[in-house]
Amino acid sequence: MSLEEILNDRLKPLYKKEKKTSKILMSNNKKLKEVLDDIELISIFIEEVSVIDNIRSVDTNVITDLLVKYKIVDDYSIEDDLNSIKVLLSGIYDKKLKMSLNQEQIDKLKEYISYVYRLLDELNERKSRLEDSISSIQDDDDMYISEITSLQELIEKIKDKDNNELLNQEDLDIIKEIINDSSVLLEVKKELLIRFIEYNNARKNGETKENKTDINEVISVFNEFNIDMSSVIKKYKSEVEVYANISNIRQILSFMMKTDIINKFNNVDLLTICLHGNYESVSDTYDEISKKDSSDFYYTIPSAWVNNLESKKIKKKKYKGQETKEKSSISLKQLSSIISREEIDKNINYLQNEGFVFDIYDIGSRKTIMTSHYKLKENVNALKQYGIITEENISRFKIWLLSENQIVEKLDRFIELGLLSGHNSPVEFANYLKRYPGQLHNMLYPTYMLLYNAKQTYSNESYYTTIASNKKGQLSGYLNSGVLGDILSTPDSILEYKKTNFIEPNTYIDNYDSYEEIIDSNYDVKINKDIFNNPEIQNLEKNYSIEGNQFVYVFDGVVISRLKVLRNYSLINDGKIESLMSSIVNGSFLTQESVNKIAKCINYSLGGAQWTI
Amino acid sequence: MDYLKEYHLNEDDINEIKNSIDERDILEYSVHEENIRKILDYLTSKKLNIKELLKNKSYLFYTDSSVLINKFNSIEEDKLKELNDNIDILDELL
Repeated sequence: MSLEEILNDRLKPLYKKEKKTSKILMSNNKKLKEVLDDIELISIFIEEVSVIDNIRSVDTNVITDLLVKYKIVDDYSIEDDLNSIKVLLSGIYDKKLKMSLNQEQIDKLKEYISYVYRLLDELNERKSRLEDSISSIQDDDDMYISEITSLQELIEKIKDKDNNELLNQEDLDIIKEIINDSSVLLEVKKELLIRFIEYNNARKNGETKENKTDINEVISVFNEFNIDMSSVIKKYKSEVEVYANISNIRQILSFMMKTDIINKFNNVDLLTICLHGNYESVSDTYDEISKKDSSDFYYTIPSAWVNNLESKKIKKKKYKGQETKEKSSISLKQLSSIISREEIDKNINYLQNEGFVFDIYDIGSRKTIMTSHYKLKENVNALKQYGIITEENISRFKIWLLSENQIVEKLDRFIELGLLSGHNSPVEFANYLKRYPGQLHNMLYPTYMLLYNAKQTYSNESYYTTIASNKKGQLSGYLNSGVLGDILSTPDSILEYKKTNFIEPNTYIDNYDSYEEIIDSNYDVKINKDIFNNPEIQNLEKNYSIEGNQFVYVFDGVVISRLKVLRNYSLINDGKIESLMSSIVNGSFLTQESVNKIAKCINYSLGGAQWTI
Repeated sequence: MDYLKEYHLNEDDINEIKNSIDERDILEYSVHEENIRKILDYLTSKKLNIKELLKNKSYLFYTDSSVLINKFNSIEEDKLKELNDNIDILDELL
């Protein structure tokens, strides 16, 4: 066996183990969430009945449901007793009847409360057990992920015909993992070491890697199954030469022929699966999706048929303008690793459980369902937090928007531009974005700059007159994705406009770049409640927040997204005035005048640190 | 994405499209040429501005062409004509 084959054999069962632990983790996390929700309900109830007579106006049905669910009581008879006590208490306290509870009734009340406390103890124990279990399983999962990732990288290194480096200590550590595994056969271990040494000797002697597969052989294999793959194979020739394994391809195609799914794929997707998948990954997916009504959907996503881990959290990149994209070569390898089948399922279940109503085959659904799960969740959370998605509209909300990039930054901008939860905005524009949420996608980067400039240059009234179209409550077509004119159509003109009209934070905040890096590396929209104990945030809350509008701070007329500031400051929170200033200005296009106003409000000395509140 | 040149898009247009979309979109446009072509054939038959659609409505092109064509066929002709003036109304029409 070759070095690559031995490593691939190691990889396959690891994927299976990781999928299993991942599934258990998901199930336990779901149970934990349920337990935490129940704890919260109980805790609220306990607080409400701290004065026991208050129980007369509290809905105890929900609590009794929990008592039955967790078998603290056997049935609902206790609720019947409680109801008559509650009626009596109502009479005594609300209708001032001259009566009182008898001893039996008092004992029943006390009994009920004691059951509730028992339930709380039980739930806390469950919580503790689940947390321990999750922690331990997470450790296993992390270990599998780590080994899978290392193995994948090593295999890629071996395959790469342009990489003639010797396998190093890090690579040897991966080999050692296998050698130390008592379940691996001695012959395999011996073979592994021999191939490792041979590989390095070959590199030392300057030998080229002879792992090219003849594409004509690959074309022939597909022909055996009546598939003319010649043009696609020629298009991706270099990738086929590196990744094609004839017996693997034949195994996959035989399985697909036997299960009559071979013609469900287009040629590009089929080739992708044959190069980067294997029999196990294909048969696993087939078995799983056969249980679903929506199985056809999975035939449109080749990565669902290849072993893939759930998308890692990557450092998010702030979109800084019209950058020229680096020319990265398109490969079927990229296509094979977009998203795993498990993550697709997670996304579909998540969206349905949240209350979105959608057809997975409809326009826009596929792109959203193929979005990484954590990005999808964060986008939904952000849209909910900013009031774009509500209980009332969620079933009608178009899910294509959920795959959008940089949603949180865009929401903050719409707030600062007075087009979402607008401060001093005319009624027709105050919640423009709620009427047209698609503008989160359609509004181009340069358009934000135009709007920011207009907002800071004109009076409030003139600003809205300028940006409005003839149709009430709509923005001028000039500002939409159509025509921007010569001003902002090229990267150079955009850069020039930005330099001319706005001031960059790193010119007036020490260490701004490092603060920006911290902010940029986070996907979370959560705000750490502890920051409300900080005097600097208390100052903002007291002097610059607006009653009735939780979304803005106003610094001498300059509107800044409050959630942005709190979120950013939650991340940095080092007590320095620079971090507060960074939290405020990050993501905004501000003129010198606006920066001066903000700095004056928070006593920040531009270009240096003067700490006073 | 050179096949886009067959739809009267030049090198500059293609670069403009690439700069407006993310890497996933570029991958989709590149590898699923067959489906994209069917969509583009239909959109050009309806005289729609395909450059703007490729730039700003990439989610359209992830859809199976038959599903997209059926959906567009259900949109009134008048409304379709408006699209070239204001592409954003597409979000409301779909």
